[in-house]
Amino acid sequence: MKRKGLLALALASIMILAACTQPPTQPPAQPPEQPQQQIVQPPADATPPTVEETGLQPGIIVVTRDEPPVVAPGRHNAVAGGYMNSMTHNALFRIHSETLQPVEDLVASWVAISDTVFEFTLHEGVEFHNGEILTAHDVIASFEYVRNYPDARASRESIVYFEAIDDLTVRIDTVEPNALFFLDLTHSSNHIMPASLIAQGHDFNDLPVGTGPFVFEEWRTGDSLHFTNFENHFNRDRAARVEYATWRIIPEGSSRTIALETGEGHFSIYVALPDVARLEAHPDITVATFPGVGHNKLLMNNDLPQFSDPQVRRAMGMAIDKEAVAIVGFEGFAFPVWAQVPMVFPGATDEGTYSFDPEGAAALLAELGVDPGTLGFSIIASNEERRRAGEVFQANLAEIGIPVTIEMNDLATTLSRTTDGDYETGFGGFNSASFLGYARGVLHINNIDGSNRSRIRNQELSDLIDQALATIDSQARLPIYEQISRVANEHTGHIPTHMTMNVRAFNANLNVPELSSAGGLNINMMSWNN
Amino acid sequence: MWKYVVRRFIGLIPILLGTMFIVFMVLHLSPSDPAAFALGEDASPEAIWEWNESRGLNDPVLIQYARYVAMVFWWGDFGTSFRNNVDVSGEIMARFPHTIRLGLVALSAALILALPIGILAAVKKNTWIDNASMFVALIGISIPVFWLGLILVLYLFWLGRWHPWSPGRDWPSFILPGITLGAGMLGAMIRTTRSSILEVMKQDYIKMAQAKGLTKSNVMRKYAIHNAFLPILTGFSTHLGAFITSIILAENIFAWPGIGRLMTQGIAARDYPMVLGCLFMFIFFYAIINIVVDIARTYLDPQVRTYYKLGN
Repeated sequence: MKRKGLLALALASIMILAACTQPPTQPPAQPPEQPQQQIVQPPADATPPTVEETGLQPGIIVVTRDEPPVVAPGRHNAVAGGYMNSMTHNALFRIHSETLQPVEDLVASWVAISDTVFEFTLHEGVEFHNGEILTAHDVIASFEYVRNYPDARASRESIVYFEAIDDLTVRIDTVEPNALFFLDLTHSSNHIMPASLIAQGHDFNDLPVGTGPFVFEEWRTGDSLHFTNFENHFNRDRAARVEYATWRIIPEGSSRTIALETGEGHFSIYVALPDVARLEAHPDITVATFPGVGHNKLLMNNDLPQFSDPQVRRAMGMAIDKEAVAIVGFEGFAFPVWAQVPMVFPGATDEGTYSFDPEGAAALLAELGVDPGTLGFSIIASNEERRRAGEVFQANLAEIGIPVTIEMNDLATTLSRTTDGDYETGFGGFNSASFLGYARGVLHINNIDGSNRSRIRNQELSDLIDQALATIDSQARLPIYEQISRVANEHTGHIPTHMTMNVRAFNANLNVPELSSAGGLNINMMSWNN
Repeated sequence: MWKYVVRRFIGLIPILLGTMFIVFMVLHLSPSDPAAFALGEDASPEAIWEWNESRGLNDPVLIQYARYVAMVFWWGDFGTSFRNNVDVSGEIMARFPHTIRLGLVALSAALILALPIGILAAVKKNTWIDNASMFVALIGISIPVFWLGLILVLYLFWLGRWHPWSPGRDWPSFILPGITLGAGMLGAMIRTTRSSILEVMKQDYIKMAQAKGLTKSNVMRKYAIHNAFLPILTGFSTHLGAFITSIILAENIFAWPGIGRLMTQGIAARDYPMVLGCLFMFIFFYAIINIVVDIARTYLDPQVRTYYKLGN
């Protein structure tokens, strides 16, 4: 009996000890109940209120799907990591949320010495979170720091030589004219960190220190990241309006929706598409839907015989009902595209594309003397949406006699197989904030075995892209962009399917002035109404 | 006795080496490249090569395995995560307490409930209590963890507008994952306890005790439960494997910040060092618990105890 009593006592003790956790750190109080109203997005050129006008407001809780792999700038290539970097850091330039063009951030002024050499003068008195003042040496040290990490190599390729001319002036030499240079300067891998900490071997993943509008406080791995307002942010117009921002990681879609509905979260980045209608009907929640820059397509391995003829690829594209792809695959949160390049960028043209014409597709194949039955292929789909889109392809191509099978692979396998050319067709996408970034990544021959997953080998196209890269004048590049679009459309390296729609849902009292097509959130600009 | 314990611990080394070899090969022979995932859809061929080179992935697989084994067993270092460039050991150590806490809560609750229910079911054999117990056990065993977890989340939210947040940080957050995780072990242990007791009740010494006039409760307390403890312990160690698998599922459903979720994130990202590190921990602890159970069994079984006392 005594032994049983001891056993019961031991088990009870284990239970109590096991569940004894550290007392939860409560985030600051949530905003008080606000009158229910639908917010009206201000026009693009509206000036958001400054911190002085609004005063510090209660914090914001953002619910998100993905945990950042790393919070140190330059050590990752993940969207989730980029969100965190933009909270704590600034780069020399930033992307304007409306125009998607680079605009000065830490840079006060700049001058082009030549097509390849630029001098940048930094703002005076910019303070890091640790109290140090930004100098040109911090910029140099940061550029050198990220060279240790290959993860975001593409975004620093244009920054070849760099030196500090004086305490506030940095000179950068791109060696060759590079039209993507300014865009590269906006990338999170080129965020600026204090030189003194870099020299000390500081772990920026443990404690990121920058000049950004928020100070990093805590990362509870697997759960949340917590930031507080940086009161000494150098740009008062872009200083954070709220007291704190917490990112809650909730991988499951319906749980994120529940968090928003119960007020546990204020802003949801990745809204589960089946929940959109429910959220739209909710009186306290605003759903914002706007075009993204993600250009999606059916990648076709151009190295394989059945996809080597541009006319055959065109015929296959003509057979696809892209409206149906957008509706069936993506519940309408996508818009169909026909051009080989994203039409959202100046210079892009749909000249040389085709339209949905299954009869024309069959006729074209007959004219080419190709038996559709010999063109059968498999489609790799990495998620449910893409599988459903694949079923539309399957049905449409069956109409003209091309047999199609669908195979499910996880994202890592899909990326690997499409990179290596170990596939027939598969769904893929590409996000870029610029025409040239897209064209270089997707269409250039040098990126075969990389981001040119359709293995498009068109020398004329690559030469045009090189020409555009070497043209610094943005106006002079536009005619080249048109040529690139035209040649790409005629070459039909892949079958474009849709552009993504960004869907964000947030508390109706939250003022969200900057929702960027490129995906940027700018939490610092968010504020509470009233 | 000590010889036995030492022998068991030495036997752990080939088990760990063998399982790590199998997992290492499966990961490396799977048709996917971690660089392609880490660098995303805009990766250039040069970046992919450089990324692989910096992590030693351009070397032959066997050399990579030898390097990994040397690193783990000689230096006690699980390497650096491919996904986030952090020290794998540190990341595992940060997450492991969450897994242990959840596991212990679920396990303790399941055992505290299962043992009396199982005993009661055996004592009240073929009554409504027995049938009800078996029904509970059947439900516990049959319902898949991933389904039960999702149903609990959805229904509790819709019924009570209640959803515990802050997984692993406060008491309420243990409730749903604890129920989800404990249900399987509860069902299995009810059945094991019941059948063990019933088996013991058939033995001659029980009949002898009953014939001598001992009360039913005395027979149960002094003879049946005591002797049924060994098969219950054996049953527990066999159910432990399924329990550990369930931890991985439950952590993913409830976004629990433990090593089960860390491992699945690692699998999705082809983060080989992280997957191997987490798996090492699971294998190691499974083996350790089994050794402890075996030692306990040796201690509890007078025949085996005497065998070792005699110098074997």
